[in-house]
Amino acid sequence: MSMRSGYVNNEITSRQVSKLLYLFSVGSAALIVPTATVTIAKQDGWISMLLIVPVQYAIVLVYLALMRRFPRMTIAQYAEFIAGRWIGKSIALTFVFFFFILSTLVLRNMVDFMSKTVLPQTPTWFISGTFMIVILYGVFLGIETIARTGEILYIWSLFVLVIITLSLMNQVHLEFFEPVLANGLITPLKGMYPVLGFPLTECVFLTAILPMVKESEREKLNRGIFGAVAVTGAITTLIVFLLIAVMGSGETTRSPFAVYEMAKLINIEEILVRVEILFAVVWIGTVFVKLSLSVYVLSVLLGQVLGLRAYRPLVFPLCMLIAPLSLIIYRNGVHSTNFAMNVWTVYSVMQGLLVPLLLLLAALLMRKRSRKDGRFPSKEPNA
Amino acid sequence: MFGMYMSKKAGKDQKKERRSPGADKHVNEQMKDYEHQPVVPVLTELLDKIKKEMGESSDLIIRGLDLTDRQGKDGDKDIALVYIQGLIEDERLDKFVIQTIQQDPELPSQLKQLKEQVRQTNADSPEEPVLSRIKSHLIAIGLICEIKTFKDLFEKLFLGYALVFIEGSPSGIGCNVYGGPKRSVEEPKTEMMIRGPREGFTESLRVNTILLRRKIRSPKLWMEQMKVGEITQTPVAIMYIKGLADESVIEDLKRRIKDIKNDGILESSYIEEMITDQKWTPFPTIISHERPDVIASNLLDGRVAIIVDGTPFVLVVPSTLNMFFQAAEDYYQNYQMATFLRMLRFSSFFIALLMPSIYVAIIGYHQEMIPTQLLLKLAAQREGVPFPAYLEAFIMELVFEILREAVLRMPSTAGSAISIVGGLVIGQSIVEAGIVSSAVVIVVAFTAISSFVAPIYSLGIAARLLRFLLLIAASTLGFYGIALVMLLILLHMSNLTSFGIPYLKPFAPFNWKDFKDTLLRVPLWMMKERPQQIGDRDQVRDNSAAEPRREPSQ
Repeated sequence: MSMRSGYVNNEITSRQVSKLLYLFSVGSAALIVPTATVTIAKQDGWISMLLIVPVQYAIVLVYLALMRRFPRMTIAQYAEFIAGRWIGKSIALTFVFFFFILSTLVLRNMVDFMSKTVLPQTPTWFISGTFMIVILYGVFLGIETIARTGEILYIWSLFVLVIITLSLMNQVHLEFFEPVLANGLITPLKGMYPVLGFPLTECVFLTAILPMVKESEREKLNRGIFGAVAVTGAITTLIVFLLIAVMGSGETTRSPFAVYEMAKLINIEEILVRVEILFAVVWIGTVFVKLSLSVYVLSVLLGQVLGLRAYRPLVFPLCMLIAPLSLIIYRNGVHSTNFAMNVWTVYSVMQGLLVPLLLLLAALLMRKRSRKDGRFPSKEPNA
Repeated sequence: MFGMYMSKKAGKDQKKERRSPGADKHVNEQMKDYEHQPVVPVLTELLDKIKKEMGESSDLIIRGLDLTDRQGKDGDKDIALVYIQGLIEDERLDKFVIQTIQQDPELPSQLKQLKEQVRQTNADSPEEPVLSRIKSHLIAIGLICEIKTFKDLFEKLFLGYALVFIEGSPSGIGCNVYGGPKRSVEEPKTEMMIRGPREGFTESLRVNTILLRRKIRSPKLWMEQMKVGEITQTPVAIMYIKGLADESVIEDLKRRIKDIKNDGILESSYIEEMITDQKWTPFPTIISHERPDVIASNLLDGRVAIIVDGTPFVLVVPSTLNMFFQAAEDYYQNYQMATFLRMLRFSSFFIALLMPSIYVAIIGYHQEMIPTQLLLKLAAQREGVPFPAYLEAFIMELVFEILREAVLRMPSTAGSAISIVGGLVIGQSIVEAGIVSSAVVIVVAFTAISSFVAPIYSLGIAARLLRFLLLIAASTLGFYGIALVMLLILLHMSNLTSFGIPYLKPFAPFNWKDFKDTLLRVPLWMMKERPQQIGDRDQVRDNSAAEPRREPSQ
C-alpha cells in the first residue's frame, strides 16, 4: 500500500455495494412505507413485503445488465454513448432532476420525523441545516468513505433491530393476522404499489455506483446484490410483521411513523422502557446513507453532464439548494402522504425503471458496449 | 473554482516543495558543509580547526602522545586522541587504545620514518605503514572506522567514538568506545502486565535493537538506519522482516522519513507527527509501544517498526484502530478471558466517549427513557441545583481534566494533597453545597475510570477531546445531536488511513479473517493467517495441526 492508495477514493468492494443497497432500501422507507402498505393491504401487509422481493431483484437485474455492457460508465455517460450527445445529455438531466427531488424528499422526511416526534421545539431549518453539514462532509470525502461508514452502520442497524425484535416478543398477538388472505392475493398485490416507487425504483442510484466496484470483485457482485435484496426483503417483512403483530393493522394505519410508535411500546420489567430513541438513531444512520448516496450520485451525474473533471465543486452548491428546498417542497403532512402515494410511484417507476430499461433495449439493439473508464477524476476532460 | 478542476494542470503538481530560504541556510550551516573538507595531515592545524569549530568546548578532550621523544614545543605531537568526555568509556580507551599504542616498540621508529618521508617528498603519502599498523595491530576494539572528512569526524565524535590522528597521515581512525550513563533495561512504565516479559525499551537505540534481535533470531530481520534532524542528527532505525513486510510501505516510510527537514528530533512523536497520512485528526494513526515483545509480534504480522534514539517508545506502521485495543497480555492468558477483556475495552472506550453526553441528552430531552423510580430520585437530587444539566456536566468535566493534569505534572510528594483537595473537598462538598447534583459526579467519575481502561494512552486523548464536542451537541440537539456528531466521527475515521491501510479495518472494510483478533481473541491455533493486506507476502502464520484430544473411552 503506497502513499497514493486511497488518494483517488473511488474503489469499493462488492460486499460494500450490497450493504449500501440494503441501507438505501431500508433507508428512509422503513419508517414511512409500512404505514402506506398496511393502509392498503391491512393485515396481509407482510405478504406484500414478501412478494416484492422478486420484483426488486428483477429491477436490480436491469442495472446489472447495463453494468455488464458499460462496466466503467455511469448512466449519464452511457446515455450519451447510446443516444448521442444532446439526447443523451437530456436523459441524464432527467436523472439529475430525479435525484435532486429525491434528496429533497429524503431530507424533508427526516426533518418531519424529527420535528414531529423528538425535537418539537427546534426550528426545522436548524435540523435540516445540521443534517446537511454531515451529508456535505460525507459526500465530499467520497464513495469509499461512505461505503466504509455504511459497513459500520449496517452492523449497528442489525444489532438494534435484533434487540428491538427480541424485546417486542412478549407483545406479539398472532390473532391480529387473522383472517389471512381474506380477499385472496389481490390485497397484498395492491399493497406492493407504494413500495414500488419508494424505495424500489429509487435503487437506480446503483447505475452510478456500480462502475466504482473493483475489477477483482466483479464476479462476486451478482451474489452480493442478491444477498442484499434477500436481506432487505427479510428485514422489511419482519418489520411489517412485527407492526401488525404488536399494534394491529388499524393502529399502524393511523400512525405516520409506525415503527417509532411500536418501539415506544417496548417495556421489559419497567427497566427497559421507551427506547424508541435508539431506533431513531438507527434511522438517522440509514437516512444518512440514503441521502449521502443520492447527493453523491446527483453531483456525479451533474458533473458528468457538465463535463467537469471532478464532482466535488458541485457538492456545496447542491447542498445549499437542497436544504432550503426541503422546507418548502411540502405544505404539510397530508400533502406529503398524498404526493408519496399518488405521484411519486409513477414518477419513480418511469425514471428508475423505464428509462434504464429503454436504454438497455437500445444498447442491445444497437449492439453497443464500451469499456471506457469514465470515473472521477477523469483523465480526459469529457468521457 | 471550476477552472481549477477543468484546467489541464492537476492541482497536485503545482505544489512545489515549499521551503523557507532560512531552511536552506540552516542546512548549509550543518553537516553538509563539512562533507567536502578533508582531514588535514598536519596535526596542529587539524586540532586547531576542531577546537575552533566546537568553540573550545570544555568537554572536548585532546590527548597528544609524543612517542618519538622530540620534547619540542607543546602541540608538537606524533599522535592525537580526540573524544568527548563522558560520552565514552574511559577504561576501554585507556586499556585497548592508549596503552597498546604507548607500549608498542616499533611504532616510534616507524613514526620517525614517516616524518622523514613527508619532509622529503613534501606530499601526502598514499599508503603509509603507521596507520595500518595502528589499525590492524594496536587498537584492540571491535568496531573501528576510517575518518576522511570533517563530516565523518564530527558524526563519529558525537556517537561516542574516540578518534586517533597521526601526524602526516591524511586520515584518522575512529574507535567505538561508546559509554557513559544510560538507563538499564527495566519494566516498562506505561504498559503494565501480570504475565509476560518484564523488559522494556530504553533510551538507547542499540539496546532497543538488541532487545528485538533477541526476540526474533532470524537473518531476515533487517534493519536500516538513518539520521534525522539537521542539528540533532538523531539516529533512527527501521526494522522489519524481509519477505513479510510490504516493500511499498518500507519505500514509502523511508521517503517520508527522508523528507523530514526538522532541526531536532527529541522523541518518536516528532517522527510520528511528520509521517502520518492525515495530519488533521485527533486519532493516533501510528501506534507506539514500550515493550519489545509487542513490537516483535507486530513485526511478525508484517509491520514495520521505527526506533528513535533517545526514547523508549517505538513506532509501528501501518497501525489500525483495532491495535489500540489490544494488550500484549491478551495473548498470554486464556482466550475466553482475553475476549471478554477486549469487549470490555471497546465498551469502556464508548463509555468514556459518550457517557456524559448521553446523560445530558436524557436529562434534557428524553426523560421518558428513565424508569419512573429512578426519575423521581434524579428529580429530587436536582431540585436545589441552580444550573441546567449540561452546565453541570461541563463544570465537572473541566474540573476533572484540571485535576488529572495537576496530578500528572506535579511532584509525587504533593500527590496526596491533590487527592484530598480534589477528591474530598471538590467532589464531596460541591454536591453538599448543591452546586451540582451527585448524579453528574457519578457520571463524570465513571467516565474518567473508563477512559483509563484503554491499553494505549494516545487513544484516550482522542476520546477526551471528542467528549466535549459531543457534550455540546447533546446539550443543543439531544440524541439527534449525538447521532450527528457520531456520524461525523465515523466518517472521519472511515476516511483515515495509515500507510494506505484503512484505519477501521477489519470492521470497515469488513474482513472476517481479520475479525478473529478484534472484539474476539480466538485461540492461537485458529489464527492461522497474518492480517490481510499487511502480511500478504506469506499468509500462513500457524501451520500446526492441532491434535484432537480424545475423550476418555469406556
